[in-house]
Amino acid sequence: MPPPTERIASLQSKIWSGSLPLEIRLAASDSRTYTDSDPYLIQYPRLSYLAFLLPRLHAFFVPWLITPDVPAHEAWLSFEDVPLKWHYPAGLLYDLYSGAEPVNLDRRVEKEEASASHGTVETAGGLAPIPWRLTIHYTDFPDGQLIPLDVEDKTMRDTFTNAMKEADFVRNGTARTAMSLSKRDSDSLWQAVLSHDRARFNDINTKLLSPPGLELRHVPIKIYLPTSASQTTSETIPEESRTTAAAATGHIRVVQALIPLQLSSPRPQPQTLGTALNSTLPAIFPSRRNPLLAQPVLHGAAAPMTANLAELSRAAAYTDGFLHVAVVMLR
Amino acid sequence: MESTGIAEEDDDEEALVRSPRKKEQRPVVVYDIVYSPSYRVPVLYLILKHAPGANIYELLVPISSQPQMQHTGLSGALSLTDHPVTGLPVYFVHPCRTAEAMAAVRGVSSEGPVEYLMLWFGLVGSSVGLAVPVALAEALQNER
Repeated sequence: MPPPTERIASLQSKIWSGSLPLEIRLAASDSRTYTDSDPYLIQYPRLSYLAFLLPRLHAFFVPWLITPDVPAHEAWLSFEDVPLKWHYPAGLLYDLYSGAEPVNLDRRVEKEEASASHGTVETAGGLAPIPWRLTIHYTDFPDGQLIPLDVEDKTMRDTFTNAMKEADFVRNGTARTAMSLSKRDSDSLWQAVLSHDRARFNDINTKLLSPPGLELRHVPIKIYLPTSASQTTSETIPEESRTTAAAATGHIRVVQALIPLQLSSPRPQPQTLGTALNSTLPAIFPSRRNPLLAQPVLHGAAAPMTANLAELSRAAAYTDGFLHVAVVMLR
Repeated sequence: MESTGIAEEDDDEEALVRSPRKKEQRPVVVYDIVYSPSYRVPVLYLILKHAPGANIYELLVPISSQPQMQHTGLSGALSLTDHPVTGLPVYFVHPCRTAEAMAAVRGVSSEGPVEYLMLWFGLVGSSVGLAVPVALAEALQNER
């Protein structure tokens, strides 16, 4: 068994290679030919942000646009009428909204033996919706629901930087490491995010992960719960099937708590994904080891509850430093 | 908490007589204070209403603080994010410096929540048009 650092690096590499096939179509109301415009097809990295596609999408769709003068950054994307938030990475949006069955790592061997091709993936439960069909709009920007972008990507960079600082603060109790990155380093980091360059990203990110003189205290993690509109903010189990809850209302409750690296009781032990979920959302994760009511989904897979959280963070964190875990209710 | 922003009205007597169709809604800023589990401080969120396309800095930030606000970070100390409860996009005052600044200002004595919030309002609220009314501050002082 290779030492943990190599395993972590290998897993990180696989996650960075993870991508989604997207099929983007122009909204009929924005198209001169109604529904006849060609779809834009792309295999897009799960860790990247959809906003980076807008210039290419504009160039592609401009022959069909009723309003070709609308700037590229004023477009917006939706899935089944839900506007997609710009600052959520593509993979997180897919985990939350697509209705895809999370890949269960234990049952994956059965799936591989039984699977057909034809652009779908057979999983233990059913078909995974790929390519992911999205709609691009050039009018009626949903002001109250989406952060508006700007032509220079400043908003994207700003929200990314805020998230990165928050992750740094959560890790160390201070954001000074992130805030004291040289202009060259922070530009390089942003370039690495824009171009999805793992090596360049790691060069700078290691400075954030191992700041001299600071002890790592907490693991940056955000948990996403699809909710129904009538729910209160207390944690409850949504009654609709998970495939429609998030898409139907579009409302996701984001849960954050400070999760220490170590558990102190009943005896000192490393924090796992399961212990973190159990302490934060005990009604949804009553067991520390077994997903009884819901599964934590990370990068399309049902993440093992027993995974060491600190190691999981090093391997599977998104570019902003957070583990973004989607909660999917079990049928 | 609600506080009216600055609307542009002239003082002309005739301006008081308006037809219902022309009645303008004054811009309104709603301030929400929500505790951040990550930063462990209260965070100030600002929701702008009835002011389509307005520049929030112009509406809120007192002239004296403006250059200072805009030099911190890429777009000033006000950023956009999702409101932690509603999930809708709102402005917020980034809390990364709040915890350290509060620690510096508080001094040795440990104060209760009221005193803490008074200090917090001074630090965080004052640069975005949110201040404790003088009458309230005096009343709280007299209670101690």
